[in-house]
Amino acid sequence: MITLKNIRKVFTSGDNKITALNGIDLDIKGGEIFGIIGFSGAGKSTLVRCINMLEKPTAGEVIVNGQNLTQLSKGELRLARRKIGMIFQHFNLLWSRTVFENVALPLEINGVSRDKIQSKVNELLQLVGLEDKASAYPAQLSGGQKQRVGIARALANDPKVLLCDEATSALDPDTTDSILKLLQDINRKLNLTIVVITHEMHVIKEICDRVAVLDRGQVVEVGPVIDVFTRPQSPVTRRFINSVVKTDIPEVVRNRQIELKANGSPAKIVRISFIGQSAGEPVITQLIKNFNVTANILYGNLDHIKDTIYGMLTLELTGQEQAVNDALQFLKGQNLQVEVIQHV
Amino acid sequence: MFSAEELPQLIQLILEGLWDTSYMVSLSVLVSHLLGIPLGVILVTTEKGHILECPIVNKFLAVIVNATRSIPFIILLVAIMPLTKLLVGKTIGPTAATVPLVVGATPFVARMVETALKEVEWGIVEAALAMGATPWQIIRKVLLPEAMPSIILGAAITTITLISFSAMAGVVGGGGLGDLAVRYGYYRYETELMIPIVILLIILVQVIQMIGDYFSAKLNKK
Ligand SMILES: Nc1ncnc2c1ncn2[C@@H]1O[C@H](COP(=O)(O)OP(=O)(O)OP(=O)(O)O)[C@@H](O)[C@H]1O
Ligand SMILES: [Mg+2]
Repeated sequence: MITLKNIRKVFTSGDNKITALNGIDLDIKGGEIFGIIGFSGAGKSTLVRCINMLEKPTAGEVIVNGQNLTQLSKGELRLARRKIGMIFQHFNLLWSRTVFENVALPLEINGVSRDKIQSKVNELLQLVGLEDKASAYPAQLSGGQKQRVGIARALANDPKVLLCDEATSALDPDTTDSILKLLQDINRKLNLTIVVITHEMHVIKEICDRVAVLDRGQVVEVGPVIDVFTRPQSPVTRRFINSVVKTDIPEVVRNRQIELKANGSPAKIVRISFIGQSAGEPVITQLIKNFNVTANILYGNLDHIKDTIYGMLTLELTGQEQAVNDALQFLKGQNLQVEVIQHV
Repeated sequence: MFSAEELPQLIQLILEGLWDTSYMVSLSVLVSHLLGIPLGVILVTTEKGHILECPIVNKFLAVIVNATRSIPFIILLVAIMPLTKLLVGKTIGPTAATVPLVVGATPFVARMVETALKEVEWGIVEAALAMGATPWQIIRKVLLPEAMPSIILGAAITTITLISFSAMAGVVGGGGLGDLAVRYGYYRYETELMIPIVILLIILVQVIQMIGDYFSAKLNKK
């Protein structure tokens, strides 16, 4: 649905050149919720704004729904944009228009007749649960309600794609979850492709199918959220995962490891991730029965990524080096994601 | 001193003055906005990075607007008499006075409108761009309606400024309350006429400010 080919964006201000995007290649499939995560300044907003050409890439191609947007004339681009919805962190609603009129704006722009606007807006307000607020002004709404108006407005011309730039970053956690749920509903109901930009791993974990991790203008990691979560490849990704799952090792444990090593029985800290139905418990029992090791549970967690249950267990394995290695081999053979976090 | 039998005549004079002032000011407010609003819109939208980016037009208009604004009104009044003669056919009377008033007020309005439009958050314009709006749609459906409360406040200020400018225009033969005040108060030291005129002007300015505030607040939904 969306293909980005070698996108580069260089901002020039005076003699200063800032490379915001440095060769981005991405393929976003129709009907998926695709997340793009990165720290502040990574280039997320620039990237998402390239998708509807609010920002013109310095080089590269943007193909949306089979159309190469980088080659369109101004008029053609305007028509193409009508099929790409966008919502914003600060909503960007018109203060002078009521909720109804705000949602009607893209339809007016698209030259839709008055009657059709009436019925379409009502339908959209129902979809986002704001039928009773049709004649309110944005200033009278809460942040969550404003974003619902933003979503209704973005969907007015039946777009194929919805771009969300930090759509929940200005909202409290509960409101964030209700907006995320709404986005997920829309994705299913309308089979809409959604691109979500965020710096919160929570958002990715709740609704995204796939994720790209952006760092200094480059994609450092991309794949299904569950894979990226359980097998993070880059330090940046690890830091994001840390924000929702505890993976760092407390000082006390680290000190103990040094001690154990000095005593000739080194320990290994191992993180086991299990996804879906595969249960963790018998594995641990077998481990202790069959190998001459002790397993100390440091941290355990059961959570979900979108609709998949997954668990994480952080263990400290101690024993003779050979025994510990054998135990690790056994774990790896159990169809579990096993990661040795730190060995001393 | 005025005698009792002169009173109806005085009232007559003041009413005529009030009518002339109202006529000059309303007409020049109307025309200066008809010219100044588009000018302000062009000043904003042709700026770098805006929806109709065009540095040449922008610089050119900015220079003209600034130049006109830096000429003292009293000088403008005299300097454009040939233009007035050309447009109206004469250089005295309220209609003729409207010409310099419009020339003086239009750049003022343009700057007011420019300031009002710049208060509209850029994010809102971007939202419209993302919807595929044309520049004209953005101006008509987004920029102007969003800036309307500020534009109306600006219009009240312009009107009040034009009342004082019209007094100056009056001296050069435009008529109106200012002319009356100067003729009787300054040349003939008949301050009795000055006082009601000054009170009338104060009321006029207050009323205009109140009307401006009222409509601006009514339209402001922020
Ligand atoms: N219009 C611009 N002119 C100059 N530099 C810009 C412009 N827009 C963005 N940049 C620069 O490009 C880089 C990426 O910015 P961008 O806004 O895409 O980051 P981001 O990942 O969205 O960050 P945040 O999470 O803070 O929103 C930054 O270094 C920023 O300073
Ligand atoms: Mg951003």
